Amino acid sequence: MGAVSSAALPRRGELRLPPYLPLLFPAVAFMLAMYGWPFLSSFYQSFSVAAREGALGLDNYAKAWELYRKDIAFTFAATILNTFLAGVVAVLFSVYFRLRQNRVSAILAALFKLPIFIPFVVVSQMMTSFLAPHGLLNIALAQLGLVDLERPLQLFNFAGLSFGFAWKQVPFAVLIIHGGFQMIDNSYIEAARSSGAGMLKVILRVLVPMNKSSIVAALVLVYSSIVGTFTLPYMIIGGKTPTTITVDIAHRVNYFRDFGVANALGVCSYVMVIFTAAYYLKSRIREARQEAAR
Amino acid sequence: MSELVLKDLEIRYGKVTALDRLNLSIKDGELVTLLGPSGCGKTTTLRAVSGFLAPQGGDIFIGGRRITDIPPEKRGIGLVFQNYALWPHMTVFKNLAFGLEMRKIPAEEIKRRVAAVLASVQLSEYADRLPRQLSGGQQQRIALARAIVLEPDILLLDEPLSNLDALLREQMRFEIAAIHDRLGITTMYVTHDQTEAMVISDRIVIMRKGLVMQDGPPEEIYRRPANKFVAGFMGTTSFVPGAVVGVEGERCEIETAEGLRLVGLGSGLKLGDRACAAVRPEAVLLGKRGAEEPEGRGANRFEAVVQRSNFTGELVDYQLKVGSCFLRAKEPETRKVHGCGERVELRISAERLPIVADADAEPRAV
Repeated sequence: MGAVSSAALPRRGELRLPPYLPLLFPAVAFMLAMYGWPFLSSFYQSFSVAAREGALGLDNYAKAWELYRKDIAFTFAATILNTFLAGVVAVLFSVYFRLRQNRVSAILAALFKLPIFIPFVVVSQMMTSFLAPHGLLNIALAQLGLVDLERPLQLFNFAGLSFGFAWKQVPFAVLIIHGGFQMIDNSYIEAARSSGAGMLKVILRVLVPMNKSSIVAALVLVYSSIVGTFTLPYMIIGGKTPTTITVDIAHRVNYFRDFGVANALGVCSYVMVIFTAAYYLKSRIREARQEAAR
Repeated sequence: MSELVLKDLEIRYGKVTALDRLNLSIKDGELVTLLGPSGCGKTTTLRAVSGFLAPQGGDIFIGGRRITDIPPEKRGIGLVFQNYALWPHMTVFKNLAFGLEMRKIPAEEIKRRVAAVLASVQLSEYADRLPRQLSGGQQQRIALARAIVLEPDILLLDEPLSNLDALLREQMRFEIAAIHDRLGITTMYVTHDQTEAMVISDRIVIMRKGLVMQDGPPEEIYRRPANKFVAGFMGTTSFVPGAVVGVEGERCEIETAEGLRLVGLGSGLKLGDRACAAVRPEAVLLGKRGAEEPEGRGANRFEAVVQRSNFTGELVDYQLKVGSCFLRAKEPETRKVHGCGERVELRISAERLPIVADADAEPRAV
């Protein structure tokens, strides 16, 4: 009476596939074919030695390190710094949109989304004419008497690259971060203010920590996007050194057909992204568990 | 002294007047409840006092100090929200310590004060927990503790019990009243629950459409409603309309269109006025026809027919028909239960029958 059939229970050591597996199959198969296979293929090729057919080694990595270590460091530094800058600016704008709900902020919030829909290649073209020695920015600053057009600001470098990244990436980050801020009920802000906190304390001690998951998500996505950006550094910095590894990859492939070194540089960019992606996934899983526990 | 005074307070949302020259004062240490239906202006009043809503006219004073233009963080007010609003990323200790840190209180003093307040709400062992690890009742007590740890001049509570289940809500009413008695903080409490207001308040302010309908101790509000709105809002009330046919001091007699005469207590009424008797179910006594009046003071006796009787546990809830009027009565289940269609005699003491003007109590300031 009430006994469970022994046939329904898995035996010790027996592998029982979950019943929902067939439902997952199309999505998993697509991911493996479109992302998994190219990744594994490029990872494998990064170890292939061009001089010896079928041989594997670290030659491509040694060459990449020898030729492009400054660019790898530059890419990493530029990505970290620009992600940080984009994050700070995006948080400031998001806080403004959250706390000041008036006509001006509504117009700004609408205009702010426009760069998201402009492709990187168009942004790059815009930046080259905007930041050029006799471009719009220098002419505008000269009109204000801040710049001498005989010695204009030179912005086809790290500064110009950062400006371009911020212009393109901040709106995207604001979209995610502002969404998180909107989820925070006014009562949390009012509780802090009635406890004696000024606006700065409310932002730093209440709003930002309560919206940590959205901010982290935005930073991870912006970071991953910057690591893989090609057109903006290519058009702003071009062949000058240091440049980003995406430009180097294009250079190796276009001029030398050197897929081994290009793939080794590609693996470097994976490594740069994988830690942030792992952190992001881990925090999402933790949040989902906490949500489920409630 | 932390007396709260609102003087001619006026708040409008576009063309809608939320508060119409509201005048109200709460004495030092008093607990006053703003009670009324949704949209009556009670939460608007609380938000104006807390500083999150700027009035278009009038002034707010705490202890004689004008605070109308002072930002919320500098008003010295403790605020408890309906949804608790405990910061989810901070432990209970940090939630309570936050306001003290903002006031730059030394760390040792913060520890001492937080521990004392946690002990007073009997949650000392929960200091290291996150809000999500607490039950609803515990979260509400922490929200209250967070407000009182700051030793505010004024404590504002915005429907603090409405998210709790019925049993816990009843328990918390007494806890809040006990905490208030112990600390003696001047308190403004907002609710739409009459029972909650009756249990915890020193005074109740009934509001409607941005105006005060009546302001007085709970018993007075219940026994001597100022108008038909207050009589209808407090408790279950059946109205019997008629015309005033006799006035003698506070005693007032009305006659219905069917010739029934009811004697009760009313004020401001004169002969010929349209008025109505506000019959509360607990004021109605039922008995056999012709039986002696048990208390010997029943001024109103009528014959009624039981339309429906519902057993609710400790009480039997009757629906009765007197002429063309329907009345409710509630009697202990220990008394004789009358069945449907049974003819009974209904008695209402004049002292327990308020008579109010039969107008729809159009708002006017009291």
